[in-house]
Amino acid sequence: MTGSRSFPQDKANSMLLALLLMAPGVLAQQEPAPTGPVTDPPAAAEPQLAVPGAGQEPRAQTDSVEYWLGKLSAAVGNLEYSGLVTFEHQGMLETLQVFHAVRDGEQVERVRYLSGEPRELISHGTGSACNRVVSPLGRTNQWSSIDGQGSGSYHFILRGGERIADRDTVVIEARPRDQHRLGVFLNLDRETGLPLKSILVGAQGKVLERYQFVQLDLSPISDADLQPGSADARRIDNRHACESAQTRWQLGWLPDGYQRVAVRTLADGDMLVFSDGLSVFTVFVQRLGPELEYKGRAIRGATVAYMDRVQVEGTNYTVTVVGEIPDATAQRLAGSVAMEPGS
Amino acid sequence: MSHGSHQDRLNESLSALMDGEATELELQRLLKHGSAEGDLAERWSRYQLAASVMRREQVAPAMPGLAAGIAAAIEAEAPLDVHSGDSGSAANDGGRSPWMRTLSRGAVAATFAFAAILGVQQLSQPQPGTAGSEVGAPQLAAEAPQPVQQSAPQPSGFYVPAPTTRSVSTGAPRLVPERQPGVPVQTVIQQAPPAELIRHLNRVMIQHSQQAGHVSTQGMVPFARATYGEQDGQ
Repeated sequence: MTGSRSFPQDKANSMLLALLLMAPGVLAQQEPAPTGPVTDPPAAAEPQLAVPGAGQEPRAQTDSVEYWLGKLSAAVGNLEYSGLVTFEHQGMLETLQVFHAVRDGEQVERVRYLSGEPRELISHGTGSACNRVVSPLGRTNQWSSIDGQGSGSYHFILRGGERIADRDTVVIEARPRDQHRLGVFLNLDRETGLPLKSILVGAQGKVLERYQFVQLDLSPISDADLQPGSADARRIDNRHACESAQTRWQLGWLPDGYQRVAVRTLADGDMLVFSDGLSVFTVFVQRLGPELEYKGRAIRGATVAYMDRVQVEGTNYTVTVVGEIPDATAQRLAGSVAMEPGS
Repeated sequence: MSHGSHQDRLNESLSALMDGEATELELQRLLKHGSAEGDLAERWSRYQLAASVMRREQVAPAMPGLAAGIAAAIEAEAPLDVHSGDSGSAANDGGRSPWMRTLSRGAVAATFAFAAILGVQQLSQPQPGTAGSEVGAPQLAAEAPQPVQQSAPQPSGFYVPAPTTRSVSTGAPRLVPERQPGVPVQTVIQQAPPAELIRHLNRVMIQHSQQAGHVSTQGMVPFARATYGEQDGQ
């Protein structure tokens, strides 16, 4: 535990970056005619400064997707910032105040809702503990098969520029290569690489969720800003969050590009976390009461939860797949949960 | 003001007001003509209704009471209203109940649209707003003429505070049971989801979001998600 925490933090980030860039050749130059299944959300319909074209010279560094994604990983983990953010999901608009600081190599995050019910959360320790899980050793096996097929999970396209929160940003579209994940539009701050806007897009280009800064402050965060403002603020200790516990459960089907990044043991079952570097879903297998034997989905913004049951040796388990993924994917995943043979 | 059709200009101004983009001049023009022209008021009323349906506001519970309140207010003001002659009062008597009927019918249509959509399998793309306006609005537009005859006392008729974006947080996730063959969709949906189920869903959604905070490169987005429905998610 302590050993893994001494890893430099950006190692985890660079691993995620590598996950994102499973097919490095897949860049803007290869963009097909813009008739894909994902249509541009309104935000991307603005004048594009860097229109991808055919037969262009190798670009300057700032024109490559790798450059920007690298910058993104570094910024997300290491930058101190605060700001005001709007968070929109299916007709609801919320406003938040966010603080992000780095203390002793670990991220400390504080989120305060400024609208609706007063809510607040403070998270400690994000970042370092996941190194072991997304390790370079595991990488080769995981990815060789994918590389063999010659396709990553997403098609990355630079979409020009846009001004967000009074700052210049670069727009990157991550267009899914299959129907098992959602599309993402990210606006990265030109100066720091911090995502200032992020949009999740479903099939038919429907915007499911939008997270957007209205004001950004890059000055260092004081300790006072990381203190909870209310007594009932939720505290999250993420230091143990990425431990990979033992589990008897496995998925019979997993879309290309996803890999298991964490397993946790809960009081009443197991929790398995999967990611393709950009999107994340979690599989819960729990022994719950018969009142929770429910089959169906619940949707909140871009987050879908699909509930199902699995029976093993006469015992009923409740399976819940939660994630920012298409609901058909969640349903199929839930149906594929099984106990490892021989356990 | 001297060029273009007078009516077109009024309509334009009305649209602008609807969008919150009316200039001072346009507002004055509307206020001036609004009281004289029933057609204009009627149009405004329809716009508001359509907008409500499109915003997925629950027209059903709110409107009948509101309409009754307005009707009562109009009743009280009637003596002052120089314009409401014979025809006006006739419309008052005959018009109110169709008004109410129209509203509740529209509301039922809208409610039905929600239910139908909730039952559809392809749940990642529900667009109740669109569907609601398709089902509800045209019908309202077609049948609305009756009521507005009575709404003579403008400017007050123009003052309808209509927030365009709701900033209310919904704690509970929207539930969609798997459709079972033979069971009508309606009956399945009408059941209130057990509190235990909602608690479970809130709990797993929060746990998922907290976990996602450090395996994805999305910055603090997952933490924004992690706080919805927190009250129930303990």
